[in-house]
Amino acid sequence: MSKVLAIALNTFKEAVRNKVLYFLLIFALLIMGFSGVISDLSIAAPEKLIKDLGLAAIDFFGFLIAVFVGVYLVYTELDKKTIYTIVSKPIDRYQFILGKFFGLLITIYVNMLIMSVFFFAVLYFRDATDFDKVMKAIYREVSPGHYEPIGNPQIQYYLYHFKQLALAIGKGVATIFGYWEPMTHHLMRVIWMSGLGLAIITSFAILYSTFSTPTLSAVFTFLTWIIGNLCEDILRYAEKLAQKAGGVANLAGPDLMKYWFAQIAMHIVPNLALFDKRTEAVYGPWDVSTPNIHSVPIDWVSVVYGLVYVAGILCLASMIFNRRNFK
Amino acid sequence: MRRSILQNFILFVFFVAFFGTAVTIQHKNLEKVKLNPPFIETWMLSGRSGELLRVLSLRYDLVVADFLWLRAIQSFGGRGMTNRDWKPIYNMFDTITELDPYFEAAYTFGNMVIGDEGGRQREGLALLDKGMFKLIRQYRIPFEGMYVAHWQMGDTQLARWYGRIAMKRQDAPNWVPRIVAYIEVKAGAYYIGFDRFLSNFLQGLDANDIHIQAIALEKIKEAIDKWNKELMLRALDEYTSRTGRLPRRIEEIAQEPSLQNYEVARMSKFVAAVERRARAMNREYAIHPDLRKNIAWPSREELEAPLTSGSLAKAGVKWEDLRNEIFHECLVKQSGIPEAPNGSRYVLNLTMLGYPWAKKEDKIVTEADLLDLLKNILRDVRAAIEDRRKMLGRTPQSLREVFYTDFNTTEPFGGTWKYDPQTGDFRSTSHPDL
Repeated sequence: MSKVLAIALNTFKEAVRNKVLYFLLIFALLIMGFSGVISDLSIAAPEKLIKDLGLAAIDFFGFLIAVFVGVYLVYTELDKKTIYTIVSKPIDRYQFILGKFFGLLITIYVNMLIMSVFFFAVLYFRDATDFDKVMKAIYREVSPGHYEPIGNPQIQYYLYHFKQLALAIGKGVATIFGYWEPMTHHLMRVIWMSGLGLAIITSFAILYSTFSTPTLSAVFTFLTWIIGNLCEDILRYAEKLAQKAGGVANLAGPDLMKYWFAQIAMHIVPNLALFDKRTEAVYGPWDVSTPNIHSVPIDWVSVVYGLVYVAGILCLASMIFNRRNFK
Repeated sequence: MRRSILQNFILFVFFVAFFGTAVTIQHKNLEKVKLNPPFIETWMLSGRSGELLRVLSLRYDLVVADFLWLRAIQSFGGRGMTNRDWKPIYNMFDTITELDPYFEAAYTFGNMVIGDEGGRQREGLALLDKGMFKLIRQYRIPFEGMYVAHWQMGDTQLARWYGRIAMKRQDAPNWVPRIVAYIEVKAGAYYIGFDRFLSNFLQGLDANDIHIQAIALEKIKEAIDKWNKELMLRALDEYTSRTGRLPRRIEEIAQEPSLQNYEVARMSKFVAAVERRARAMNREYAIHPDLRKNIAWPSREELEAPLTSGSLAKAGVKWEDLRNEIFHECLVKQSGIPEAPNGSRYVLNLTMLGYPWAKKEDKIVTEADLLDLLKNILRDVRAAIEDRRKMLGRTPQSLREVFYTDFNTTEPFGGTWKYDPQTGDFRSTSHPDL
């Protein structure tokens, strides 16, 4: 375990030196900041816009980090021949793979946490700088319908915004440790579920990088991500084929092949839809019997699915890496 | 070498175990997915852009919907300032709601743009229909459907349907059933409308809210009045068809088939029913003294009659629990002219009776309302005479000199108009005191 941890920490240190990571992070933060601005253009549901864009940005940029950083990890070791210094030590190859995987995962999760803090801060700041709240902060009601400024309104205005900004960042940090307000209720769960989906993508990035070049690995990982997002649609495609023919028994020729290909594919490819709880976070659960609160119940089956899927792919990656000739 | 084979074997076993578990879980998940069909068939990619975008958005459908939403708002503004053609926006809202089926504002705003502004109410309703069955806890969407159907399309039956759905929604405020009851009455569903307003009145009693009681009482009167009028207007049609002439007095239509052995709710019965129960519940009264004006009050015998043995009324019982028994007690089977709910009596409005373009419900009114009409006519004609007098510097010689045409308005009670050219005095023979 200590060997895996050592490789993981080393991988993490190596990854954070990658400039691509910072570009992606800055871009993600810009998009989240932008979401606060464009929400003002909406005539309704501005908070929803920030949530949609923020959660999607965390998920998508986490995926990009997994691809662009992940596919180079194993390849760089082989390319620079540094792998020899590792395999010559009493370290099994599967430990190397696990170390690389966890190192990359830590990198992704640290980035996700930074993005989350920013995302929550945008949400809190947007809420605190609502027109009514700002007006209440800089004017006081002396008699019904009559207001007078508290000090210099301009200075008060800026002071209030600075104070709220600091408070929003503080609340943002607190939120990742469990603090919540109604608008951020259970959002961390959604982000952690996204993180589990990203763990699957990361394991695939590692798997592909054990036997192919970075470019091909990136392409394969990207395609895996696409097919993983379409998994449930593949099922519907198969269902549609069967429905058109009047049942599976009536399928024949190419349609039968397509049907079985789809059936096998949808069972094997990762179902990333299971880790997407963004709709529940914005609207509450789909289950009509539960009250209309924006709670996101933990889907333990999906958690187990994600963990065993990752474990399976890492086993496969280790098996391939075991057979890999470094010459 | 041997170690490597062993390790590979163990890894293979682990792989099979882990991946096998993952595939098993996935299989079960997919079985669940089959039970939850997509909003629109995802794989029919031709035709509507929403279906295509749903697949292409790769589960970022909410974000794509948001950007389209912002675009739709801008498009609404842009078109509002240019050609005011909202038709293309329908597709936009259709796509947005395909991508984000729970986006309530997209349905309501879309309906406003397409229906209210664009005059394409059917398309607006199609959008609302879509949202109504997706947002099953919210009243807002079917409520807007009711608004469009009733006030914009004049389709009360359709409005009733939307209204009934709206009032059953989890977040429906307590005023929604009242509006739905209004639509029920408008649509001719008097039993239901009366029952809903009755329920509302009893809720007002339970909550000790006089404001709700006042509104509900007025609405009960209105429902009964419309109910009565529909029967009488039917009888009026039967009378004119049979005799080929208009009646001069309301009693002339009392023998027509529509006014034989019919069932209707009677206001005095309602008052007696609630007041008798108030007594049984050790309350001083049911209808607040401030609300007793213009109500058909029951006779003393009716008020003092004992309650039936099956009544649940006793101290501590909620009024709402007595709704059924009160409702049934209000209904009467009778023949002849019904009782007016405001304590007056129904009469023919002869001013409106002969005019084919007059509103049907204005042809039979209560005596009190008719008196108001007479007063209004007298006031308006006298004002016109006064204006003309000032203009001429003398009293007009005839009403023709006032109105530049013959004064043909029929006296509402069947009397005649009397104009004195000497004094300029204008009166009605049926009510010379006014």
